[in-house]
Amino acid sequence: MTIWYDLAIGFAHVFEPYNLLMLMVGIIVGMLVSIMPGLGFVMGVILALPFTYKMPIEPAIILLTAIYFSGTYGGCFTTILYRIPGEPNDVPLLWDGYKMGQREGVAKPLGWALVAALIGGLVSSTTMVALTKPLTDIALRFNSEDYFAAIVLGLTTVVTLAGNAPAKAVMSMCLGLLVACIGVDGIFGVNRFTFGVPILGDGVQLVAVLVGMYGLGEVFKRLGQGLAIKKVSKDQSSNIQTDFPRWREVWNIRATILRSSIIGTFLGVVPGAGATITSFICYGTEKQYGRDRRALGSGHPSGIVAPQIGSTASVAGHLIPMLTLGIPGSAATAVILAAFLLHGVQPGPMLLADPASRTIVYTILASMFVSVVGMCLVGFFWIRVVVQVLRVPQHLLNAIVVLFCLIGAYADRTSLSDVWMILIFGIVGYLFEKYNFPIAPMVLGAILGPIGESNFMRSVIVHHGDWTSPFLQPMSGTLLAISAIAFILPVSRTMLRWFRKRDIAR
Amino acid sequence: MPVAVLNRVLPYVIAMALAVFFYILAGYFDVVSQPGSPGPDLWPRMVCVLLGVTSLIGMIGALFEGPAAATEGEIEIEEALSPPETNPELVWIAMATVGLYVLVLPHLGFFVATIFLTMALLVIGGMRRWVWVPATGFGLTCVFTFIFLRIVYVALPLGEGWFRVISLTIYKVIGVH
Repeated sequence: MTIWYDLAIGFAHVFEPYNLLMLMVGIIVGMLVSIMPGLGFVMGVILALPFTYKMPIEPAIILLTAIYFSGTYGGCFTTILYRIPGEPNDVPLLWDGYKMGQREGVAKPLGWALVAALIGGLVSSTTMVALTKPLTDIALRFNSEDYFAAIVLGLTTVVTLAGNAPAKAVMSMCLGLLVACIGVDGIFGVNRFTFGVPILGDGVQLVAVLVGMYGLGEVFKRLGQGLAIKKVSKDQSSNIQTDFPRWREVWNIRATILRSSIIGTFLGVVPGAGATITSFICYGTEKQYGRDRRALGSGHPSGIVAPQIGSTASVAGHLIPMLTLGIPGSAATAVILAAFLLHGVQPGPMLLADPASRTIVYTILASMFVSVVGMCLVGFFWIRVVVQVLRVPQHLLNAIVVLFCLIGAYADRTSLSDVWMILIFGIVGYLFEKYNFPIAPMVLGAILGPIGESNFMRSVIVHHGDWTSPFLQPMSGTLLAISAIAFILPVSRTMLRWFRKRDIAR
Repeated sequence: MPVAVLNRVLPYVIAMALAVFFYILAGYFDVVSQPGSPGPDLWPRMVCVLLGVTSLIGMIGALFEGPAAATEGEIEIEEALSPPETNPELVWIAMATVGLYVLVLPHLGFFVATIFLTMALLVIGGMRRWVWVPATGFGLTCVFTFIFLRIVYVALPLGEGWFRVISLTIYKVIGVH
């Protein structure tokens, strides 16, 4: 009962003019960045971050959350219309969305995508709001060992879900953990890896890592690809509309909707399983177990609905662990966490314990519902206007993003050292992309590293130097065992594949 | 050793070198671990060991790895998401340009330095309408100056000497005193 009462208060806050304005801005920005290939919703939340420095915390987080939500939906337009996936999570829509558009006109697949985004967003938001209190209650019982084990589990899943090269993912995570070590140590007050540079004493700013790796690194990559980027002609973006599916058609794929909503929502909770992985898994599940699995790939509604529900549902799934445990599971939630920290608020179980911050949490939760409905309305009425953004020349877009990244980093502490940091991490981000190293483990390592370290060290100090205590306690031991299994399974699969490939080559 | 293998192994060698370097460096912290009493070097050293071991495994894997054969589906996804790199030299030019920008920013001030940076980025990005390059550079800089001074309230660098005068004049035009 209290949850829904708090949520009602949250809704009242969301409908305050300034908060509502930021929500609308967030929805539109999210759509624009997800439509433009190469930008994406992660870049969107990163570029919007500097604007939140001077805002109160509520509108700041509402803005970023709205960008995140609508970003998982906006990319479907370009995928269905022009066969250009705005986001990686839109790739499964290429197979059925684009084909249906060619066969029956684009209005129909756009309508399916809209319905899917609406269902996925609302179902996952409702589920996650209901789970907020129980999750917080569990988190409040966590001790240092449990927290350390939860961080290890989070990092392990990020590593195992990062791609086909676990070694590269682990290395990326380790580099992130080392970056987090730079600065004055929180427990002993000792300078670590500062090389005598005073500003490094404060540590590397989270914003520098995020903006550099995801923002500047991406622009560098795109500059290298310059000539190979697909362009959209003027006449392609005219005469676009959305046609809703009939109730009977929706009812016919009710199993797909149910399966994808469940998978999307609960996979979203797993750190590392972002919108892309969720979207692919939902599509894969339909391809394997769906009633119409043979029709998938030929323009079937299930092939549009499953990945779109998965993408949108994962957002609420990601936000809840970040709010209740302080553990971000994706790059976008990492940026939202950074926004919290920049406002001096540490997300975690204590956030819900305090009545003042509880209102903030429920305002954010309420904004999820409004974002979902708002993005669908914008998608329905303004799609023709929104897709015009594809005509913005790439060179202009690149220049704008670079300026936002550099000034955004400078604005945090008005320090040129942060701008140098951005450049360094931008180069690292580009090299990571070039050599196929996943970026997410490094970023999440840099964010989760200090929390993991402080809890581990506290546990070791309390147990007089005995580092085995996290392994021996029931909760933390179980979490660490799950982490070990989560790591060993994919690694052994990769090794097996590697040996098989070598056998075939011989 | 063939160049392709060297390219594959290089990132692991760098990571290994970093692991060794940071491991040794951790031993020089003002306070270090003693038997039975952990110090601030414990965690970084644990991370370095993990990084070193993983780099070694990756290195061995890269040495014996054959050329990767992607499936049709993988190629389709790759093409849709990320076209091939056609101009790697532009990337390094852009990096150098941004580096130069950060270097001259305190001297030229935000306004003047950003006009040059924007123009350079437009040209690097492929803009060849030469009349529009300076106009777009100037326009974008004005927009960004206005946004960050009037909306985000950031004290942007003014520069030195004449550049400071230019910056202050522009700011006055924008309405910042």
